[in-house]
Formats: sequence, structure tokens, C-alpha cells
Amino acid sequence: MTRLLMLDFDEHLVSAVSRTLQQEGVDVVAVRSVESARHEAENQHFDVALLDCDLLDAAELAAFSELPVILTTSFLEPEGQHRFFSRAPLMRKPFTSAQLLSALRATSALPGLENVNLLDVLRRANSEAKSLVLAVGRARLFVEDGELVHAEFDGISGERALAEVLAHGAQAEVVTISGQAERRTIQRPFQALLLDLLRHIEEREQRESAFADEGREDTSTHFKGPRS
Amino acid sequence: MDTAERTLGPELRQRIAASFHRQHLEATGRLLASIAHDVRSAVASIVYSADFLDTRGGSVQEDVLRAMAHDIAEASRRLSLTVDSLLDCARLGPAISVPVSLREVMSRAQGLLRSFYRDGAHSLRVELVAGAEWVRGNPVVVEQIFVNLLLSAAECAEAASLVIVSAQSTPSSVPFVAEALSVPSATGMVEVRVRGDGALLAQRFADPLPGAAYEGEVVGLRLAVADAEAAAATQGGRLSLDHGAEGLSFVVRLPRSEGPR
Repeated sequence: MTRLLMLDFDEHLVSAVSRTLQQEGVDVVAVRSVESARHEAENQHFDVALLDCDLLDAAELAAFSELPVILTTSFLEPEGQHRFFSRAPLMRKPFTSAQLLSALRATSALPGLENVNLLDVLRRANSEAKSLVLAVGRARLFVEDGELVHAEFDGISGERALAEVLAHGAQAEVVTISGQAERRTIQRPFQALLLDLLRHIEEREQRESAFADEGREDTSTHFKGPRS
Repeated sequence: MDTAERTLGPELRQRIAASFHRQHLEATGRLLASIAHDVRSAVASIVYSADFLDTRGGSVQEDVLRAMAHDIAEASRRLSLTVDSLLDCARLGPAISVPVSLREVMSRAQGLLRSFYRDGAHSLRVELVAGAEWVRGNPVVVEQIFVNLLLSAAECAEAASLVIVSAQSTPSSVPFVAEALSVPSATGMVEVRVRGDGALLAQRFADPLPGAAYEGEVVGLRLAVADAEAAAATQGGRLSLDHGAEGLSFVVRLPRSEGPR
């Protein structure tokens, strides 16, 4: 589990961040003073630190030099980088959980989050029977009680759209958004669907590779649906 | 017109007036920065939680949902208290008297003055003992008292200095203060001492001041301390200058509180 050290005076923000990051498999240890933060950093293992730099001096930041650090501020600093703390990325308050996750992914200290891709998210949603809507680039995927019920991508929908997303956008950033499916275009259970799709993607990659070797272009890339 | 004022020429008086005006503008700027910081902090947790519920509310467990809704409600209450405190400051609303954490006040004041302290290579040490961590009053006003004093303590130092804030509770209270403020839990006072370079501070507060010393930083220093003194009085407290062995230090007495229940 990824461990995050959070320094912030706002107990409500701390509890909200702790709760939401817990959902992403991140354990948050929160402190309200620089002294406590330094103590925790010296005595426990952390993968990353989220520090409110309104509570810090540059010299105090040096105590966290072993950790990837993300800074936050309530003052009007330029977005991205603080005037006095140039070595760490800066997030201005208020920020959202999506922005925080994005900043955490950008740190190399979070392998757990960094490697999260669409398949991981779908598998997890399925195993936990979650309902959610995912934005993957221009594509939208709708999951209800762990089952994929609808996918749309560039004017196509259903299993074909899902195949396109998995083939071309599986490494793209996955963002959870609000909404619900207005129609059902995917009927098959997730596990069976996933196996078929993965097989299809593998076959296509092999075909593309073979065509590339021969210097030709593969034009037969559409997913045909369930195999009999 | 006192003796010192009578000896000032018209040009000097004009410069003093301009200096007062500038100091007032700076003080207003600090107050606005402090309020903006408070508001943004409260808004930060509301925005974070509300956005999470908006985007992922359908997929989180009920207890998480309830806890996040509770966080939003608490942060909203804090925002509301900030607005009420401001209305109280502007005499547009009822008096606000709530438990105020000195530790939190010092931390916020420190954040606000960080660039000033950083530029002057000053540092701050806060020593609060148990039982002297909470006072009762208007949070905005209490913060302004200490912003002014921390600024003044560092401002009068000619080189990098260490400003020490220490607090202790004092058993006695002025009974009519608690009564007038309707603060049953004010079971005494908290005495907060702000100590910088005592000798230099004593120079700046030499009485009577020579005419030329009414200008510039000394005017600002005296104005900031006068504002803090008036503010402490509105909270049922008192600000005094203590001539101790280490020089001059500011001593603020404010009604003690037990903290929120």
C-alpha cells in the first residue's frame, strides 16, 4: 500500500483527502505541524509527502528531501511551482481529488497508482461490484454493479467501442466522472467479455506486427463480437 | 496637542500623516490577506469533498458518503463563522465570542508573515503550555492582534532575530469582563508574551519620542501596537508593554477558554 504523509492544518481537508485516497489504496498519515511531520518522516516509511507550504520554510522543506513532495497553498502562488520551493510541484487550494490523483501519479514514488490503467480499474470495479462512469480520453465507459453496460467512442458504441478503447486508450488517463448510462449496449458478463476482447486485441497486435513486417497496412481491425 | 506634537513642523506633520495612511493601507492589506486565506482554506475542503461526491458519489460506501457530507457541513459552518466574525469587526453583526486556538492563530499568523520573516531571516518559536492554548473571542480579531505583534517584534530588529511567543494561564480574571462578554467558560485569562529584540523594542517605545522618530517604521510600529491594544480591549483583554530584564516585550491578556466541546 502506498503511504502518504500529509501536513495540513485543515482537519476537514485532511479527513476528506484521507478518505478519498484510501479508496485508491493510499494510506494517509496526517499531521498539523512541521515538527510532527519531520518526526513522522524520520520514523516511518513514506512514498510521498503532501505538504501545505503555508506552514513551511525552505529550510524546513529540506527535512523531506528523501521523499517526492507535492506542495499545496492557500495563497495566490503561480499554479505549478512556488516562488520559494522550486523543487516540488505546487497545487493551489482548492483542488479536486482528480487533480490530487493526477499529481500523485506524476510522482515516480507511487507505482501502485502510476500503473493503474483501464483494465485494472475495470477489474477492480467488477470485483467490488461498483457503479461508475469512466472517461478515457474521448471515450466513455459505464459500469453498473461491476458490469460494463455501455461504451461509446468516436460515434461507435457497445463492444466495438470498448475494443477500440482497450486497443488504443488502455494507457490513457482514466478519470471517474458523474453520470449514468442512458442505454445498454453491452449485454455479456464482464469476465467473458474481457477474455474475448483481450484475445481479439492480441490477435490484432500480432496481425499488425505481421503486416508491418511486410510493409502493408492491416484494414481488418474491427471486433466482431462474441465467438460461438 | 501634546508637547511632542507642538514641536513638529507642518512638513513633518504632513509626512507623518502620509506615513500613517500608508501603514493603515498595509494593515488593511494584511487583514484582507488573512481573511482570504481563511476563506480559501474552508472552501478547499468543501470543493474537494463536493467534487468527489459529484464525480464518484454513486460508487462510494454509505458511511464514506455520510462522513464527507459531515465534512462539508463543518467546513461550511467555519466559513459562516468567518463571515460572522467579519460582520462583528465591522460592527454590522452581533459580537462573536468563540473558543480560539492560539496554536492555530500563531500558525496562520506565521503563514501570513512568512515572506516578511523569510526576507529578514527572522524566526519564530511558539511555546504554549497546557491550559493556555485556547482563548475566547472573535477569531479574526484575535488573529489580527498577534499578526500585528509578531510583525512589530520582528520589524524593530535590525538583524535576523528570534521572536518567542510564550503563553501561560493566569488564575484571576476580572469578573465583570466575563459577565459583560457572557462567557461562562472564561475561568481566567491567558497571558501571551511576545518577545523579540527587547532592547531595540524599548528604544522604539521610548517615551517621549523625539520628533523625527515619528516617521517611517516607528510610526508603523506604534500604529500596529495601538491597533492591537484596541483590539485586545474589545475582546475583554489587555495589551501592555513589559519592561523586564531582557528588555521590552508585549504582553497580551485574553479570556481563557476550555476549547470546543
